[in-house]
Amino acid sequence: MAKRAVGADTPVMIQFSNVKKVYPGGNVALQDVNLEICRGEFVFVLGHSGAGKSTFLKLILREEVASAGKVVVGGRDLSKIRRKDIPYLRRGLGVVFQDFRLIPTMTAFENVAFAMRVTNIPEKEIKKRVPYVLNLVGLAGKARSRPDELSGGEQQRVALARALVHSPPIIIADEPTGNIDPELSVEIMELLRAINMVGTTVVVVTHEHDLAQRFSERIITIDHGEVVADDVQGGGEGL
Amino acid sequence: MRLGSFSYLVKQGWKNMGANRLMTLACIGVLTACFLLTGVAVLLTLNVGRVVDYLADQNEIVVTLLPEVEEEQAAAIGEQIKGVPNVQDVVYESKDDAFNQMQSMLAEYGNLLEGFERIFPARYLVTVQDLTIIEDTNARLAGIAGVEKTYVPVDLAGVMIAINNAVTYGGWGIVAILALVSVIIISNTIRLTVFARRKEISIMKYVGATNAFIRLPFFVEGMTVGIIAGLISSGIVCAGYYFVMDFLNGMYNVWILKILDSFLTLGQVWYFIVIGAVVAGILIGGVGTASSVRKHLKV
Ligand SMILES: Nc1ncnc2c1ncn2[C@@H]1O[C@H](COP(=O)(O)OP(=O)(O)O)[C@@H](O)[C@H]1O
Ligand SMILES: [Mg+2]
Repeated sequence: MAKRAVGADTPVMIQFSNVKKVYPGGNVALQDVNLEICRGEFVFVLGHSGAGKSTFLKLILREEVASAGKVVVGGRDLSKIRRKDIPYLRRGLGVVFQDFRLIPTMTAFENVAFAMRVTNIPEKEIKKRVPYVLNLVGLAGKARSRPDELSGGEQQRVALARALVHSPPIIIADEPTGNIDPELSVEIMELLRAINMVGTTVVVVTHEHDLAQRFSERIITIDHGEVVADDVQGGGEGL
Repeated sequence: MRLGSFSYLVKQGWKNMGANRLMTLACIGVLTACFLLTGVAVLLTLNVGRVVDYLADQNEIVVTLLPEVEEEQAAAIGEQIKGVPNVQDVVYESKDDAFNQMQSMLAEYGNLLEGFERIFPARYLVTVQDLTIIEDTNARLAGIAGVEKTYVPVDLAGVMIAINNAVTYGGWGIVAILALVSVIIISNTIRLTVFARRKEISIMKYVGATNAFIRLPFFVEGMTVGIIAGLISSGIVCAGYYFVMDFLNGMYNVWILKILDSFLTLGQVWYFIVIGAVVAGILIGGVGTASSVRKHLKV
């Protein structure tokens, strides 16, 4: 577990400085957010619905732009990043959503391959890489199944496989277990933990306090757009 | 972009057309109709322009000289006529020429004109450069000393100018309107595809696809629709032109044949029609797609 200890010399992967986000219409979703997430950390972002958790992730993905303050991801200042560099930023950020966002007409294999095809990767490499990541998430046998033939947990694992195709240094998950039975949620969390164990930074957003307690050693709590707690704990359940 | 990726995206564009089959067909149909009307308008405009040019060339002012004007004086008048602005060409017919011409026309009736040798006045046949100011030119010619009368088919000229203007402005006006309609139709079709594909598009953005990758299939779709409409409509226009010309030629009417002479032949225009329609299809498909993608595909 030593690798998750955060020292001063650990490279900072995500940095928020005095970040404020006001949506058009005056909705203040985040304010005074100051935090750093370092390489190899496994971080939970906890908060009630509407607290600003998704907004936090959207700022990291540069889907939204901070109204004030600075967001730096992987050394890039996102307020200064050029439009044409955004896709390359996102290739370093694997994302998973509550609703999986798989293409219903495609098989598990095709869904994962899609992410590689649209990012200019040769077919030869796709044929090697897709089975590898499907195997990683334990879906080697389900490559030809379409989403409607898979359980929620399996669909989320396809989405996770897709998030892993570019070997991103950071994985971001927005309520990844929100649509999954509790037992299967544990599977997904354990997978994320395993991914974290090999050095990937993982940020998981959830409103499930128990889940966060169980799996994480750092919990950032957001309430009404403000960070109200940032606790490093004993190390959760461990692996 | 790798070639493999490019062909993948092109296929995606065609797949989108297939997924939206009805809309695609409707779009091609409407576009073909627009292109057909455009083709007809363009051909009419070009040909009417040529007919008017032809008639203008035929359009001479006949300047008759007073009977007492003799050859020497007539030559001086000829110089004066040449000096009048807008005069393009001048042909002189002496009294004898006029007589001989008339006699040859009446040859089969024998020596009908015997004893009338000197009654036909000498005349100048004057063609003008610009038909629109023929009346002004005519007035100047009538004012020259020694000129008896001038004959000018002013009415015909005026009518032809009016027709030419109407057809030209109307024709290009119709072309402009139809082009706009075509762009809107393509734009709308692409908007529907963007809507149908919004889920894939959002996934593409999250996994880091570049704008070019996201947009290319839509341009492929829009331009392919444009090209297909261009090919179909130009084929129909060429076939239609062939049959209309064939029909008119078959009427064996001297006037029609004369006018047909100045028409463009199918051999002269078919490649112009086909290439023009395909290029127009690509342009309109591209512009239509771009306007739709700009509005509905925020990246
Ligand atoms: N696109 C948007 N436009 C306006 N307000 C928004 C938008 N997205 C989120 N909000 C508002 O910002 C606040 C935080 O939303 P969000 O980050 O989605 O919260 P969470 O993910 O924690 O439930 C909420 O009040 C929400 O209504
Ligand atoms: Mg949310």
